[in-house]
Amino acid sequence: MTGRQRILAALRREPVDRTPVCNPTSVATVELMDLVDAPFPDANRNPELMARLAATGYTELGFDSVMPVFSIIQESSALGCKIQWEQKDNWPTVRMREPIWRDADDVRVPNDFLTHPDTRCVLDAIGILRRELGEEVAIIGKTMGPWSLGYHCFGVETFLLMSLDDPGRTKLCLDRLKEATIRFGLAQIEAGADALTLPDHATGDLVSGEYYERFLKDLHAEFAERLPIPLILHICGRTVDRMGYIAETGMAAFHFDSKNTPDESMEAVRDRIALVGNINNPETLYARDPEAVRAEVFKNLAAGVQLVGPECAIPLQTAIENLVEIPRAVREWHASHAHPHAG
Amino acid sequence: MDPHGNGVALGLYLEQGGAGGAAYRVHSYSSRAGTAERVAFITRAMALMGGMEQTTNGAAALRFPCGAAHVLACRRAFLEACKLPSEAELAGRPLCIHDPKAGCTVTVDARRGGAYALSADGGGPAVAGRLVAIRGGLAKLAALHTIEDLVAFDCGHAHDALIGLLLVRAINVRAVMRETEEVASRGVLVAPSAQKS
Amino acid sequence: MAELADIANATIRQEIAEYLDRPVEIERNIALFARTRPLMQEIAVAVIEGDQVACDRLTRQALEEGVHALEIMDDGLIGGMGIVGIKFRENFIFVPEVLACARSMKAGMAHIEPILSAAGVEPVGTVVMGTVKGDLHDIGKNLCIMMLRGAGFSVIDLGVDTAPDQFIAAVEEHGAPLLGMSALLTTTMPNMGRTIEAFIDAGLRDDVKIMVGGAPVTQEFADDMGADGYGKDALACVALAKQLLGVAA
Repeated sequence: MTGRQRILAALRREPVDRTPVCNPTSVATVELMDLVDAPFPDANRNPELMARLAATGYTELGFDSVMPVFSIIQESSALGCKIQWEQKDNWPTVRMREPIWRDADDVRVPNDFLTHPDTRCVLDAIGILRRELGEEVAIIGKTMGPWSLGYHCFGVETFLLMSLDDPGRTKLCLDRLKEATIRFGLAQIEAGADALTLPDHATGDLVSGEYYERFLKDLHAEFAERLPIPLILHICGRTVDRMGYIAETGMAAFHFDSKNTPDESMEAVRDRIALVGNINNPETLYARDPEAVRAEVFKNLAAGVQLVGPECAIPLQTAIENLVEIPRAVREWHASHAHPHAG
Repeated sequence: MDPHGNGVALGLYLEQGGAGGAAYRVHSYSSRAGTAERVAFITRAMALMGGMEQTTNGAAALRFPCGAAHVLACRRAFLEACKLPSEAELAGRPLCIHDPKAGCTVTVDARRGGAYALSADGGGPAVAGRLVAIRGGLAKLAALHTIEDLVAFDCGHAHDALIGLLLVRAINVRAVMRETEEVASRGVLVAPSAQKS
Repeated sequence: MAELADIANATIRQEIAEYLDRPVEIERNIALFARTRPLMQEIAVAVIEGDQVACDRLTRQALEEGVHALEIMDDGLIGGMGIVGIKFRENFIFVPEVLACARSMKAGMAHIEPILSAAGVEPVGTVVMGTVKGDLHDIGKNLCIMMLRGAGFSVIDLGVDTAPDQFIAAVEEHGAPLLGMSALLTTTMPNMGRTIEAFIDAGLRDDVKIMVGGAPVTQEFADDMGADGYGKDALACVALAKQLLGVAA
């Protein structure tokens, strides 16, 4: 199987020859930027650099996927948010202290949303990757969910208070924001993406599972219907209490982080959705050695997680040797274990 | 990130288990002009300032003569070397330093078994307190163990050059910790709700 | 001993019955609300329900009726926030609800604080308070600060995401003998230990007492980090502050 076939099959929970190594989120590092001379912030704004850096996930690290949308600012930038671009060794962020909207009536997706330089960059980069990598490797795009866009455009505290003060208006905001998610997603499909990561940060550290069910579950089900491509939902933090709801949305996979163990996560979704995860970033991938990485890969494989990868966008200073350990460990495990999803 | 290397990232890699014990390699993935020379300079600087030996096992490598890894100390030597421009004259650091906080000169004397004692040319509780703090700083920077009023390397061997290098930072270890924390926090992507600005 | 039925306000009785589980906390809250006047209980309900309009109105009404500002704060506002803190700790409510309760409490405190600061009471001690680096949650910290000020402490509030050097600078600048740190996330709790280490590195550890608190923090953790004390809630924070500074309880 090619990497692309492997990822797509795993997302459909079909038989695979081995567990794919997948990055729904960024695996860009300063070392990889040096290797191909594609540094931040330019690699977030220039499609050639973006594609060149994204390709290293496959050519240098040996992953089965590439994902060119390193940061989470593209849609918000196109909606009008101010962006702090930073330098090579730091992430661009939305200046949420300068929110652009105060009320549901302010929400609008501008006509030039898909031709804004930051959204356009992603679409062009996907096109370059499809031309250069052919059908060998899966290209995963990314489109931000409406809850995350709400944080960016209104400010976190304002948005959370609105959700309590006026759930109806909050749902209206989400309904208007979802157009950005869908438009950007469809455009990436057209550009050649094989799957889409959909980050929507209704994390358990802040809001209840019941909140997810009330505000987002139906929207996410709508995305699964309107975006004709496998969707990988990404929510950071402790999320076991909402994985049952997530599994009912019809999305292909859920990307879970290290605050949830592989075993309890598999138990929570009960084969209704694939799981991608969940190697710890700050303590394992960034701070420890390949031995520690291997142990976490093995834990995920033993639990039957369908796609293995880092839990979230990796710290930019992560060493390449820890990242290449992931596919190496997957191969090592499969050499000595019968594969639960084997075909 | 190398401040003198056009924004190129440099890495320090540890290879355990070789014939000579732990060995380190300074490495960059960049192919920009001047990178190889910069790597060579930093390797030389670490050797001189950190009291390490350069070996040539196919590529330039560094090791402590005792064969132990001394990971923290080596990392500190690497960071100090990266702070120097390539034109800098390399020299070892003495085992004494003026401490502006207590207004005295602190001297480090080597004892047996890789142990070191600190003394100062002044007296009084303020000076005594500073000796405690500086000793603590040395221990922290190189993962040394303390025995009464001595600090010592676990390997039991002397590392005078390393002590001289670390002494400069030990007199204000808070600044070092702050710098380390700032470097560690750069490049970490957080969810919008966890973003601080 | 007071009983649940002795509490005049039906909502308060229901909150205690439904959400409080630990016997010590049940007893303490019953004792509190059984002796407070009904208007104070209504203010507490306004805080618990996140009703800032009602909280503002009832606080003004209480002041007009001659109730002392300190009594309104202790029995009404802080009493209500005490129950909010427990519900948050036990995951009955989450951050959005707590933000609304805090907003409600602020509405009441807007009338109380000017009165308390004008009273010109000699502070019993100076405390530096902050939420540790990486942590943006300030509910617990703010609660403790209100109670500390109510108890007569002068408090320097460093806000959220406070780096070790900021704590050190504030303690040095104000000559504060006491530092309080809070954390709401397990991921940021280690920064309490790093801050304490920073004080050791700076040679200042012996000059300041350090107390810690926050929903995930435990006595065991506080001991491991080398803190001088642990406060499990805002009330305990005040008692601990008095104990650490040798002030009469």
